[in-house]
Amino acid sequence: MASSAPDPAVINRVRQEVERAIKRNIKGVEYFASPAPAPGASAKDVLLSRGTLQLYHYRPLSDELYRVPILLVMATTNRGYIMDLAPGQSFVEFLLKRGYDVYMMDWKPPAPHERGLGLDDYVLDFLPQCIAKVQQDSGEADVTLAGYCMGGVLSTIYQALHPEGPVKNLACFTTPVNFKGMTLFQAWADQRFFDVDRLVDTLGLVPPDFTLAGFEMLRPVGRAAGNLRLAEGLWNDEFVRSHRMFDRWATDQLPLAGEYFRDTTKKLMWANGLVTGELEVGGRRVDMGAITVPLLHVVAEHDHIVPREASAPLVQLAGSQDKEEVVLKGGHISIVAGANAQKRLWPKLDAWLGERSL
Amino acid sequence: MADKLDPAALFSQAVSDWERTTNALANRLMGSGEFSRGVNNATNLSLVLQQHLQENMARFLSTANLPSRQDVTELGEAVRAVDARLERIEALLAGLGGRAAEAPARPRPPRTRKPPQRSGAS
Repeated sequence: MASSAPDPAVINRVRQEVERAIKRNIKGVEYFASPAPAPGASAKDVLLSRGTLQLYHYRPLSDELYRVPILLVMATTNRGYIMDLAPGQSFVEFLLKRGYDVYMMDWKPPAPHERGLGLDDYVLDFLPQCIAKVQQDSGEADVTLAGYCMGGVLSTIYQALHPEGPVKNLACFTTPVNFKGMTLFQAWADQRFFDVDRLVDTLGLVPPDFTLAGFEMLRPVGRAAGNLRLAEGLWNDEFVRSHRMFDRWATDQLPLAGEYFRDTTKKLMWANGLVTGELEVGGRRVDMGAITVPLLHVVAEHDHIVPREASAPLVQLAGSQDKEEVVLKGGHISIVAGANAQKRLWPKLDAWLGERSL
Repeated sequence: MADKLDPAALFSQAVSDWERTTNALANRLMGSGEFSRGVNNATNLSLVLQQHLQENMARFLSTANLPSRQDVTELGEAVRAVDARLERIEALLAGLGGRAAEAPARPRPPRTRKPPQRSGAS
């Protein structure tokens, strides 16, 4: 005779779902009534503040440092706190605890008078000034450059133009080189229809809404799907906290200096100058083959912003003998921050960089 | 694969499937020349209107003897420049007055670290 008692697994599941439903309601109210968590985990000093440019030095968390300091170069469209979200979830904190002396080039919204800053200014003025400041502050001649997304593009161009030093290692994360590989951006920036001159001449600074719309159009229902997941996961404090931090960062876009946007559109997006070898910065041709320092490029398997076709040529074109491309699971953002990054990118970078930082 | 007993996992799987298929479909449509032409035409039209509005507004403000956005921006920049200059002077004065000497540089750890396999640590 079959038992009429309900399956204990089903009872447990029902109990769990009822508990979660109650928590969702209570925490849903808390969610709307509380401010987003404040980003930033690690103590830092501002070494340089020059208009849109900020250079930070993070205070060491280790008794012993590697000789070579590391300068993180943040993408120009976003804030650097993605690298330092919260204690235990901070790339910067991880590096500090592993004994690296960490500096970061971060960006503030450019002021109206900075509309004229171009690619030349970022590569031949901001980067050299920050590197010199890092050398002076650390007392070391060598520096490791590590760039994220467009920060990687700036670092790559800088290194191609300064192969004689002082950069000792170059690490890039999800860095586009072949801009023809960014097919949707290519379609939207189609030279026949997109009047970049009118945009820049009219607005001066490219508003953050414009770049945010571009990123969100890559995944048109991404935000709605994220909100559905949030509604379901409201019972889970850790999930909600993480969601809020990432959502805040993703929507916290920066305006771009008009000339910089014009340069990147014409020289990189349209002319694909890094791959064709025709890119000129400050009147000098950028030859990727001139990069000879040890090079690590970490790319994300499911990167919807910088697909593999866009990022793969970096290691192929670089002239370095010691070069490596690593494809890790994850997306454009989750590769540098969050639980995925803690398991994959961070230890990989530490293993690669430690022996090259002596 | 989602646990058949777990409605949350089933929901999450359904959202992921919907997101993936809808994004893929939308990306196909948005990758077309027609979409690009439409969006860029709309952007250009908005920019032209904005430019005309800016010019007319500037003329009106000038006639009414009122500062334009450009004037206010320039004033803001001037104030910012004065502020930056004051900061530099303040830093110089602090250095001359010996305050810099009172606050010694934060001691830095030695730069002798080796990777774990080299130093023999785990």
